[in-house]
Amino acid sequence: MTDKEQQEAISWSKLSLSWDDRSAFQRCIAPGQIARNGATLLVGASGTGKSTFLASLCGIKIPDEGSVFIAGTNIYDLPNARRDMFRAAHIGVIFQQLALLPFLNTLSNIMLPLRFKNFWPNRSGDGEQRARLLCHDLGLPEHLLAQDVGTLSVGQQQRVAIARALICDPTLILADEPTAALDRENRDMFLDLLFSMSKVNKTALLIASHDEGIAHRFSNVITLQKESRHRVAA
Amino acid sequence: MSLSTLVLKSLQARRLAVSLTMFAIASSLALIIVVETVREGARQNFLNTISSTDLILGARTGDVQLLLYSIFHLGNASNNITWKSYQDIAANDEIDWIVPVSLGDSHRGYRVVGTTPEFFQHYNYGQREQLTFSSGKQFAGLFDVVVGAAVAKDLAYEVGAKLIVAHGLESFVEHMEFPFQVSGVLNATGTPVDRSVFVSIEAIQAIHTNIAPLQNNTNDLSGEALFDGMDLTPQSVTAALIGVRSKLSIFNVQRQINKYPNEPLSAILPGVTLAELYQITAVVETALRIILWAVIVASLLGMSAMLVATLSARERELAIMRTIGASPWHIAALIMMEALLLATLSALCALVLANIVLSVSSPTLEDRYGFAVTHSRALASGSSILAFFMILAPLAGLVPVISAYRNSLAARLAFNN
Repeated sequence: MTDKEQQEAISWSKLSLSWDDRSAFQRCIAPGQIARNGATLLVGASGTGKSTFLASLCGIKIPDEGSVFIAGTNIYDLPNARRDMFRAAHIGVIFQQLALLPFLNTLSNIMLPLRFKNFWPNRSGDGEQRARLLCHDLGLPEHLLAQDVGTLSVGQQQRVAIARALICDPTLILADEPTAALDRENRDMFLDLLFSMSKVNKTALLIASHDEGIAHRFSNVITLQKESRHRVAA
Repeated sequence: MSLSTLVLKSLQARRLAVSLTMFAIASSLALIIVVETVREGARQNFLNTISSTDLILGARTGDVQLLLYSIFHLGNASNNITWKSYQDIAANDEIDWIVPVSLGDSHRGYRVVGTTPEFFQHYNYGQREQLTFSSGKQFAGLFDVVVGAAVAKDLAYEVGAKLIVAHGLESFVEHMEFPFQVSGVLNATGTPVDRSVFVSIEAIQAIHTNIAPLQNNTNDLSGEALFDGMDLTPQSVTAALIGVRSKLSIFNVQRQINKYPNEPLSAILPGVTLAELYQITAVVETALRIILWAVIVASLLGMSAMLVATLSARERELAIMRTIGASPWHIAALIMMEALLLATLSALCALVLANIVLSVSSPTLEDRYGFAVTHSRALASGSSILAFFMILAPLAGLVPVISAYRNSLAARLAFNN
């Protein structure tokens, strides 16, 4: 692995995106990369293709053209099943509505990606140890681990979502509008926590948002526009 | 966390919908198990109408006809067997026991069977079960009578009750001068015995004797005293039940009887003829089986429909799993495991439900139809039905699995949802 690859968590060549069922939708994304410990903001109005771009970086949506390297691996070269396992191991995801599974308790929600990281479930107990450590670092009290996530406050659920994104010690965290439903104070608290945890865990961060008010916190901003153009800000 | 735990927790979260689906499937399966158990019970009961009897002897006729009139008391014998022939056959060394049966009279619609006290010892039914008395005992006196369970129940007869035997089957000519007295009431057997009235073979001979000359010589106008010292050996009998000493000699004895030179006689194997007779119901049985399998298929389609319906409600849940690393195969495996778990739980519930229904209805079945529905029989019927159901269950799971797999491949993500 080269120094460049070691420094880059993720890089992509020019990506050409389209949806089969939306023939009018076509986007070209310019090449880019995110360094380890780097934080990038992806902004753009609704319909500019933020979600499609995130799906491409995850390896679920295969672009018409282009490649995505994560930790030095071109994810589109991997067979489907390997790519899914690779995603579980290298990408942590935080969703807009946090998307915790309501029928699992806190600990199970956090540990869920571990099940998909390998073909067979890992029964070593290391995962649980790491989950407890993350919860400790995130300030989640021990007694909440066995509770249903539905009984947690929004703030606690946010921490659970962050812990779940970090459980596999990923190279990159993708967050899709994670602060959309939060007021300014909670938004800042959430971002503080996310930034500090990604720094501690040496994880690159890519957050998609339509809130340009948070742009100053990021070293890199990618703006997607409806005219199929893009701008990469330094 | 294993996928099975994930499935269990997911099902648990949707317990109301899942329970209702499970109950619907279990009810259908339980219905099938109950019907199949009762059908099999009735079949076994029919095939075991008579057991331990190796041969039935009658005048030369068809096998089924001889069985019908001698055991089921349906129709009439074309001919009787002379007493001499009966004795000749009885003298065969290979025959262990022989019990005569004399038919032709009736009592209020029930057949009167003239026989010997050995009938109650040798007539076995079911798994070699002997006839037992709910009250009283077998006939001892000339005008004693033993009644079957159904006769006693319908006509409210108890030990000591008096009854009159009519000549022929639908005759209004009654042997008023010879009132019989009930000496015993048999327990229900689920066989034609329940609907029969048993008297001694001598009584049959006695009531058909012209008593006018006798009455001229005595003041006692009726009763046993009238026949004191009289030879009441029958002239003929309708049929006879035979038990042989060795099972190996059954066919030999049958051949000897069929070739009896002095009179055209027939000997049939009751088990074989019963099975032949039961073939009449084959069409009905086939129709019943088709209905049962149709119910199984309908249950599976119901399960499949429920799983497909819940897929759209769980689209986000599955999309989240997919995004955090689950492959389409994981999603497919989750749905298939859900289908199999649902099928297994439904099958177990069905078995419990069927056993409860059979436990409740068993006394009624035994009382009315004379056959017990045991839990082992229910388990035997249930096992084959449920095994078939479980073999088909993955097929029923296939539609939702394919649907979930295709949705997963279509990359419907949790992003922006």
